[in-house]
Amino acid sequence: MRRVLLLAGSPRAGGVSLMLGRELLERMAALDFATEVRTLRVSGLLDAQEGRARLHAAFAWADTVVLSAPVYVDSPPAQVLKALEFLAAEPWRGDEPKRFCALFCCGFPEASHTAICLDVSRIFARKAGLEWAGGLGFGGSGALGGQSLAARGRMAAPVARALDMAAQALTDGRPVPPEARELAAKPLIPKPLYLFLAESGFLSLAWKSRTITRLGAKPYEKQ
Amino acid sequence: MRTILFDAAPPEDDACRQGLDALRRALTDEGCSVRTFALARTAISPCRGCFACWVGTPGRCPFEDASCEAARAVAGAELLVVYSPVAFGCWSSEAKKALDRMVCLVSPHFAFSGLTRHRPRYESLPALLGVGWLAEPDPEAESVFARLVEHNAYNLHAPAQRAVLLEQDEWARQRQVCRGALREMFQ
Repeated sequence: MRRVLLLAGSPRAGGVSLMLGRELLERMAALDFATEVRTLRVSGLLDAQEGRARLHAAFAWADTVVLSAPVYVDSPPAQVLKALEFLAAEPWRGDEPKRFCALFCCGFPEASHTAICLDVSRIFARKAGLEWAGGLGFGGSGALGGQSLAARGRMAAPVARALDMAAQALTDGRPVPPEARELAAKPLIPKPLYLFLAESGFLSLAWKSRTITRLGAKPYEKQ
Repeated sequence: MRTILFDAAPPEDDACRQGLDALRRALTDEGCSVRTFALARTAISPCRGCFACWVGTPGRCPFEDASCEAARAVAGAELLVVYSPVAFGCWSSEAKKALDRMVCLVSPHFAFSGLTRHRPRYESLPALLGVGWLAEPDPEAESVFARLVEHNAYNLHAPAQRAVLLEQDEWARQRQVCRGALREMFQ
């Protein structure tokens, strides 16, 4: 039986990274009925002893750990780093190898913004005594929303295909193939259109918040 | 030079704190007026990723804690120095929780040229000196850390940037490395 743990790194409950992580695990479970999956959100988890114990137990239970998280300021969010520091403090020395895979998504249209996060994940795997199974970096996550990929239709087809390939590879005990990484990095819509839609999204939120005329406010400007 | 230092050195790690001491001396040697945020003793909550600092209360995080004062200080500084143990090529979680909250210093609007980033909210933002502490040499982590500081500087619109790595060494040599980086940045 394969035991897969999803570490969800987004502080937001309906975030894109959580959706992508769940989609990957669903695919792995569909490929092998003997796969058992668990999800643990890292946000606030390490603030209490009970949470630290839960993370420790879930990590020890899994034979494959998948981290899915957004990119914050070019790197994994603070809470994700805290979880990684916690896990690497006692490198895995079990009899069976434990594999680690990472999915990162970014609101900028270019997937290259996720490269540092994937490098950090690879170094974490080495430090924590895990086998690095590769990862996927997605750009333009705003186009995916927090819905399922099926709800996004053909636009999300490259993402779905990349997750299919990653799930198959992880189930077979192989690392995520380069073809999956290339598909994940493929822009879902042209960059100018994506940026126009993203700007519109912020303006719409600001309109609803009645702050549209104050978006450029400088509250900390030197007097 | 108005300088803000984010000190993410663990209080119990004497070797790491020696590097911090060398850095502080280098900053004063180079004429910096330093205000320090000792992050291990500063209550800063992790960023919730809610975008409120962009669209709800533009330019300011609505969840008020010490990060608001830190953001105000950074907005008015000429140099931001971040000192942190290097965790897997990245900032430590202690340093990162402060840096994540600095996103209010940029605008939600996008800059359209080159690799996408947000436009700056303020006319000038500080230069960035990233100083990482590595307990033992790790070329892979060193390379990732240098790229990270470069990316942070690009996205925070820092006019200059340097990444410095300190390892177990004599205090005087660590101080010299930091002074050299400061001189290179502002020559």
